[in-house]
Amino acid sequence: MTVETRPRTDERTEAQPEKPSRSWSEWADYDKYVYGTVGVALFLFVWWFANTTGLLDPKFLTPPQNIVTALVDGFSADGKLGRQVLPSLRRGLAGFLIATVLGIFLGILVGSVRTLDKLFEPILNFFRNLSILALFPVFLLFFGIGEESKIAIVAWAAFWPIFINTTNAVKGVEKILVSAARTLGAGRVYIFTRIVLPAAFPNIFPGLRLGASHAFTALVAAEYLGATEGLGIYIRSAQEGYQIPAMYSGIVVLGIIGVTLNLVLAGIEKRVTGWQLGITSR
Amino acid sequence: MTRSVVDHPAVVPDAARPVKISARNLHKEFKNVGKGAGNGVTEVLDDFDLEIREGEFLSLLGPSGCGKSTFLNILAGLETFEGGELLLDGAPVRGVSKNIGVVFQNYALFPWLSVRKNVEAGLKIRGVPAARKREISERILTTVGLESFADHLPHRLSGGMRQRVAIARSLAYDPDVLVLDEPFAALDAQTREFLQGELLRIWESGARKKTILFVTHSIDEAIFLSDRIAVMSKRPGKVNALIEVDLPRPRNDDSRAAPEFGRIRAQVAQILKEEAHIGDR
Repeated sequence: MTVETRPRTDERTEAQPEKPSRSWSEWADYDKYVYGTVGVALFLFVWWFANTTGLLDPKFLTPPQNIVTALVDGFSADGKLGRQVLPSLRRGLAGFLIATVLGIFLGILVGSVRTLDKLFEPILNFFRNLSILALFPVFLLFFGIGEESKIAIVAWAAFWPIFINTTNAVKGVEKILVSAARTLGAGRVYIFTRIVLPAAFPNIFPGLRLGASHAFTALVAAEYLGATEGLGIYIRSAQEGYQIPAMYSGIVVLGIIGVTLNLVLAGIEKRVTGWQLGITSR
Repeated sequence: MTRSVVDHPAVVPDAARPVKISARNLHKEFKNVGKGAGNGVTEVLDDFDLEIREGEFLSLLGPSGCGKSTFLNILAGLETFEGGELLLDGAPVRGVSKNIGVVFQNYALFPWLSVRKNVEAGLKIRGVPAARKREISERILTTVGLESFADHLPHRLSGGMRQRVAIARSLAYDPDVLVLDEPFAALDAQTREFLQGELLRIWESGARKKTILFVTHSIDEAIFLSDRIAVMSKRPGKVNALIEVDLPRPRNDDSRAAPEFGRIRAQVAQILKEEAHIGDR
């Protein structure tokens, strides 16, 4: 993007002595992973334990080791699960990308032009609060049963959090920064891309992350509705065929996709808005 | 409309120099908004006359809310006005001029850009080639004494350093006019005095002296820095008195102790006091 990031090799100055706290925070980072691993292990153990003691019926809740087997089978050469990942990922990312571009562009527009904001507020309020499920028939009507309608549904679901966060982020940009840029001779485009956007980025990102999670929620719902391939239909048909471990393996794959996407976005966020570390408490 | 309060033989301010900025009968009003504001307007500037000569350091001094910052914003092209005339180099001011540099009280640095990139922003906007840009920013950062902080982000600097970056940023593209809106008001007294000296040093080091409009509410600051001080009335603001500061340059800390300094301070204080006692309208 258009934001300049600061080189990582920042020499620390006498202006702010931060050295002492450094080793501590590194330990705290390390801590996080240790606790996280222990937590996951504990969770899996309880799950396994409940299954083996018969506390939970393995017919309904497959024990973890069987899910792992189902995963391995699913991703083997003649497994069906591996083939579902790409179509779903493609739809999800396409929809999310469309939502990101539209959401940020329109968000900046509505956030910076007060008339637009006032003009569209009631309409936007109506749509953003409308259940996506209620709109499924409409999307099917417009885009048919194929790929387009699924991508449109995903885009719609991801659009709103991105759009609304961007609008508010832009409204929150300090006016004086825009004034300063104007006095430096900046035109409209420069102010939009080089001032408003980077200044708003820290507050746009939560919208992107929320949008990504909405995208994959909507994707699965769209795929349940009908699709020839995809994780959603895989999970559903596994359940209908009473292949419970396969069903759970599909769910686990979806979960992993969600976590990965969030990590990627968090990484981008850190790079793009790294400048504000130390300004705010985040 | 300027009341003559100069009680010693009036020195004509270097009449040979051409007028750089000229405001005549300037009128500015804000619509009242918000609860209980009614639907009237507030006159901020009325009958505002001011001439600033080329290469002159003029301070605009007045009580808070008198409209001095408003005039600065109008001159910078950030605000419009309702009546009168405002000329820069003989041409009407319409919108932002690329020939005016502005320094804000709260620095207004771009927090995501390094000190160097902040300083280079105006040059980048003007499409100056990279090598030349670098050369200019290097020179100006050296002038303000921040060359070793070029790659730092603004928030890692102290307030005084940030304001020096802001000054460097508005000097980088070499505008004829520099306007500063209470630039040192948020700083502690020592830093403030240090930066006042720095500002004069930077101004005097320029090949061609820039015209400076300096908005402040500090009498001492105005005297120490300026060739002339324009004292404003309460709202609706206009220039009440123009006072010549006859202190030799270059000025230093001794200037603050000069008898002339004390005399002008008393005079300005008297004007402001009278103004405060003129019935509340």
